[in-house]
Amino acid sequence: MTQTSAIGALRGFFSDLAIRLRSVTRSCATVLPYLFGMGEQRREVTEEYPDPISSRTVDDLPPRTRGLLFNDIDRCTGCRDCARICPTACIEIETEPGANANLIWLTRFNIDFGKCIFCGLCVEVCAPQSLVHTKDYECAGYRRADLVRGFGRGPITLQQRENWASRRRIEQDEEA
Amino acid sequence: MSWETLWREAFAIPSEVPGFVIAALALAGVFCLVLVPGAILLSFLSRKLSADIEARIGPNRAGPSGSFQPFADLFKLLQKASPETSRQERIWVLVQASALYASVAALPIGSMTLLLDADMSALVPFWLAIVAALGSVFLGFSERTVASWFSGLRQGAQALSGAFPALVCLISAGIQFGGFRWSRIAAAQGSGPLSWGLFSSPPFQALAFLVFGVSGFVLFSLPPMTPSVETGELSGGAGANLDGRRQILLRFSRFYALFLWSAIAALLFLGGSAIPQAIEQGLVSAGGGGAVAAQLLQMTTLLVKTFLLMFLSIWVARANPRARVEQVTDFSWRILSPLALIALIGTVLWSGGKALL
Repeated sequence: MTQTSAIGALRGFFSDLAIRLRSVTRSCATVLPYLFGMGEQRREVTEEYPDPISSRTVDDLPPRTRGLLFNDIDRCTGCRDCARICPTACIEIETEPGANANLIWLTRFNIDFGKCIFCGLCVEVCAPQSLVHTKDYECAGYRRADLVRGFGRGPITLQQRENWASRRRIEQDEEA
Repeated sequence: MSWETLWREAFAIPSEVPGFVIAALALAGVFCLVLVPGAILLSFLSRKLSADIEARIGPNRAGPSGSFQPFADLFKLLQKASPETSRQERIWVLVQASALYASVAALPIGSMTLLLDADMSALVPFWLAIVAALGSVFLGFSERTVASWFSGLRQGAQALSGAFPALVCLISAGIQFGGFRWSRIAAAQGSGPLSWGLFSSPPFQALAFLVFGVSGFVLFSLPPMTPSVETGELSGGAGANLDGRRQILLRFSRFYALFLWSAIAALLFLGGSAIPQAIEQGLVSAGGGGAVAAQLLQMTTLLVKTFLLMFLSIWVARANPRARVEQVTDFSWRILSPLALIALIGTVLWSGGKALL
């Protein structure tokens, strides 16, 4: 190693050290106002858990609280946009053709709150705005199955399926 | 005056009582009256300070202002049973904890607790820290998962990278004081800041103090140098299978490691337990409980310095992000070790130059 490169390496070492030291001391200085509650940094930014101990009720929660999800099944079109965008795949949808060609029957619309991360993406993409965040937050259970909430209409009978199929055929024939 | 004479005089212990009984009592006293209450207090303060720094509320449920939180943690941990804890794990936890706790015998919290004052006594806590680090490594190896083995390896690599600069700084302090005997180190320093080891060969001992403090955090995996321990906790690594009682032992050992390292740093570089000579002589010559009061004052001086260093470490740890394990080892080998060597060479030249002149 030449003399110049050795000096350069040494200079690099000490400048690197100075950068690290400055970073650490600046971080330490940044937190001082929080530590002593000075100026704007006086208040804690966290909220206490809203339970009877802190005298909080659901109404005290902020308007954009992302609590448990609720799906208004009468407005839901079963488009599956929510299930597609969900990063944790916690929404399970099963549909079948409804009484006429424009309707679908939502057999199953299950949300697994054990997987949900409450990111709110499903609510954002919901075109008919049937999927919303409520302000409910208590969802503890003794079994994993307790964390799954169902909003579907349930399975239809074989007879009903045949009736609807024949009704749709008649509609198609009439249109034709 | 030896520690034994001090105890016999202070508490009027008859000469028939053997020395080892007094030593055992002294150690039990230090543990029960200083370390355990200190751990409880520091654990609560650390949580509250961290919360303040991070603009959080912090503990507020157990007791007034959450002050009983350490007890709540204790009872919670005592309830944790783990049928998976193997015999090997139990042994290594015991090795790790007992090696670390045994160092209290070589830690002079005032001259009354100076139980071990041999030529190499200042190095004893260091060697015990190495044994404790090895205990953590083998604790990881004795578990059954791959994550634990890697956790053990990480802890080994980190402890080794921290031990080297720490040892070099310890040696440089020993050179400065002309030995590793605690009484010699204490006698070489005074109560005033300018007579502390920190300013004895400026700027080399100040550098040694800085490097010694930081390398202790690397050696014991203390915050913010905790990657090897925390990845273990997250991925089920070393210590994750232990039952509650052994978890308490491990967690308390982490507090104790912070205390131990801060106390050694205070003893080597910040004047230790030295109080102004006039006060000490005044108290001793006053008779009665004066000698005990002087001892208590010495102990308090050291504890205040130690707790201030611990507070400083909590502050730095909470204000800075945690590093990954290879960043920590890299920092230790490439930054701390050269600085420690600079401190050692500088101290040697300074002390040698002074001796020649």
